[in-house]
Amino acid sequence: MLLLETLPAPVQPDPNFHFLALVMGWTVTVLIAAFAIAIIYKMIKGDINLMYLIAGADGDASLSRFQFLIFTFVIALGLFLIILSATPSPAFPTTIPGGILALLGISGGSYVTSKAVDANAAKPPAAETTVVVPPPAAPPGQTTNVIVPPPA
Amino acid sequence: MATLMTFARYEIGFFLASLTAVVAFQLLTGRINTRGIISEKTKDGLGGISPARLQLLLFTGAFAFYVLSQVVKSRQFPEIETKWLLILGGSHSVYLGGKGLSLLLNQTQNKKET
Repeated sequence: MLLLETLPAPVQPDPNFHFLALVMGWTVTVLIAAFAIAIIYKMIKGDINLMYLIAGADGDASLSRFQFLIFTFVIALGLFLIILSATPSPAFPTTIPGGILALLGISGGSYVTSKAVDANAAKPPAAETTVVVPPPAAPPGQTTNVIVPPPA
Repeated sequence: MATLMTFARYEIGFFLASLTAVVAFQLLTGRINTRGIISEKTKDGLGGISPARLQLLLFTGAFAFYVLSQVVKSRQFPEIETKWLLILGGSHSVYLGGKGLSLLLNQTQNKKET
């Protein structure tokens, strides 16, 4: 009984902190929205050039980059849907299945390996080394006259 | 706070959907270069259609569709069986093996010419 009486009263949340959290939340959200709109606008206008988004070093499209792009989009969209579907409020999934992680790993690993193969292909073959020996210098005291013929 | 959450939800949804739409539109209209995506790459340029590349493209499309459809249906990431992961890994190995072999053949041919 004595213990119950000495327990501190529950702390009431400060309304100022709630207001601060709200202001910060809106600031960050609006800032992200502005960035998102700017990026999408520049992509549509062509200022952000996506021409070589999936191209390899030679300028042709690379399948490894393409599949990496596809899986990235799929996982991102899936995660977004799952977060939104959580009840009662949006939340990250508690677990991500190992299969999904393996899928991303295979995709990323394939991309990196393909890039390594491309880098190896672009490397010039080892050329034969030619050693050039300079002619012996003229002994001191001797001069060399260079005769330039007159123009025709 | 509820308004902020709703706004953030629509904002991220709009951004992801727009990004996907812009990339898909530019891929389909040719503004993103897709030249030679399933073609054999030789030292003389692009060759014919490569079976290794074609099968990887098909597997990628099938897996992407499966994962996305399962997420839309059950609102959680699906458990992918090991055999399917092995199949996907095999598909990637075939593609990478073909690419490596092609590189090796090109280098051997270059050595013979020089």
